[in-house]
Amino acid sequence: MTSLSATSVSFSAGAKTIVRDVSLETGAGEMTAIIGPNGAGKSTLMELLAGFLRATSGEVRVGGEPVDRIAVDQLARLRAYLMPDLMRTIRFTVREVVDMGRHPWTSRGDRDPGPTDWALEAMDLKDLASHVFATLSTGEARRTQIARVLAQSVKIMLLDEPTSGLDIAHSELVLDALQRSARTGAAVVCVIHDLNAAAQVVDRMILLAHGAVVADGPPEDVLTEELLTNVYEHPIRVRRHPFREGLLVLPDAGAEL
Amino acid sequence: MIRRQLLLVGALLATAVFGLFVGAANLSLSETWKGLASGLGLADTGGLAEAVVMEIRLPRIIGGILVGASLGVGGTGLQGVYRNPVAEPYLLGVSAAAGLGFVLGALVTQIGAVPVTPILLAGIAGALVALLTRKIAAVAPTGNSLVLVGVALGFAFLAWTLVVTFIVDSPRLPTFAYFVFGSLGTVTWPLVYVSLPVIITGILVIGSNARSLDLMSLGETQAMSLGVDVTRMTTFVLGTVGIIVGASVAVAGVVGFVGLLAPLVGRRVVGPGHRNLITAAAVLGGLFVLWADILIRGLVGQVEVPLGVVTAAVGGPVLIIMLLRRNWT
Repeated sequence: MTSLSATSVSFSAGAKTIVRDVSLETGAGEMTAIIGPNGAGKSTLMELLAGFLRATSGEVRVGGEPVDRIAVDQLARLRAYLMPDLMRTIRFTVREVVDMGRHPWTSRGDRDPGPTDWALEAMDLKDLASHVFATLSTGEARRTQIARVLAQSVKIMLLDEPTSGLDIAHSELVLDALQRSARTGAAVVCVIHDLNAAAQVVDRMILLAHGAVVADGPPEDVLTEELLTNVYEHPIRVRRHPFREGLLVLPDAGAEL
Repeated sequence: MIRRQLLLVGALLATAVFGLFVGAANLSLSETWKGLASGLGLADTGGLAEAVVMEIRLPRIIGGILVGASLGVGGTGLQGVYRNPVAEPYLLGVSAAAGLGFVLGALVTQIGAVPVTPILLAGIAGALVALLTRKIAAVAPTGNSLVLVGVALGFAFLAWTLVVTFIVDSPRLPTFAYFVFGSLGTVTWPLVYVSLPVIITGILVIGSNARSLDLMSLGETQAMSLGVDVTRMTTFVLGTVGIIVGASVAVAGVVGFVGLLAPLVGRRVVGPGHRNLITAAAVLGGLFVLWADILIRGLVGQVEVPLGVVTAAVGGPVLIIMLLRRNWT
């Protein structure tokens, strides 16, 4: 069931093409990781999918409608977005920030506090609920922003670097929570740099390089030594995970390119 | 929270009443009471006391509250839109632009007439520059471009105001020092009647965007993702800030520091939520201006110091102290 699609989407700023002819479709139940080196166009692609940027050519559709024809408030009830910047100056409390995720619904009179409570719980923030956001550590701030995305309770979740700055345990907590959202009917798309963590949870990986899709498929198909070594321009080894299903990606700087 | 708001409003009312008893005309306590009672129709003594209280002090106090409220809310609106604690009407050039608009309007207005054209031009100039600053700052490549653009525009508009007042030696123009540094000395009832509805409406318009301003603290794209029409909202808020700051300039000239301090102190008192912050900043701005004016009228005696001089003299050190205590944002 397609809920989010991009058809030959390109985006240029001045003479520079940042996203090049990207097509993808995803829908309920699928968790996708967008991977690729710094500057590959991942964040720009996310902003195009979220409807903040207008594609130079091609089209993004949400629920079958062209994204730029959906009203901003309507769109907020269809898709959530996590930006990579944490805005560390926010003076609201953790609970208040998470509750902002409810705005698309409270503005229509739905004041159910349930989703906020649930999201705080899911992100292990119960004890921090009354803390001022600006006083949090990087990881706590990231989890708060993800809880806000969860509280928004929508069927399309776009997250740009949801695990960056998180410790190993909380990184897994976040990815498990996102996977659960996908299993319960959301389309989840996230930009992730930690390929090993991503390989454990996602159904699909899209590898970007210089703005274009280089590979698209299940992790086993995308995480190959040849592809990664080429795209990241760095020697990379791929092994079977020693005690879990899936793969393990390891850099190997000593090796020949 | 409601208790704190009520306390603030109570303090404002008490200050306003206290202000009625202070001034250059040496009225005794009982004379002032009688003047006030007579002015309100409760007694019939009339005379000098009634004229001083009803025609000089009362409009001056109401004018002071209006000026403080519009600058306080103006600063809150700008800081909310820009997520920048130094954004305020004076620093971003909005006040200076409104000043030029007012002076140009004053040139074509008869002495003694209700200054509708000057207020209109001040509001339009303020709104245009508030919107223009955002446009220029968005295109300019440096990180601090907002304040740079604001300061540049502010100096330019102040200079043009100077040029106009130097070239045109007209009795229609306000006294230069009192206009450029602000004063409540020329507030009259007609001025209050014209500016009051403008300022009240403006504050309500900004207040109606309170939740959107809260969401803006998450960042522009994040606010957009939650359904805020950021372009529309910022245009509304910035334009309205320009208009109420313009009205305040028409009442008292260009006054600095109120728009900067009122929201900063307000956040300390009621927190970052804009619904509470907007009312708190309005009341705190009013309090700040009233006390500055009481100081001017009471302590200095026959010679009036410009209002902006006192707000800066007091506001500067207060700001530094807040900075040092890291209570800044």
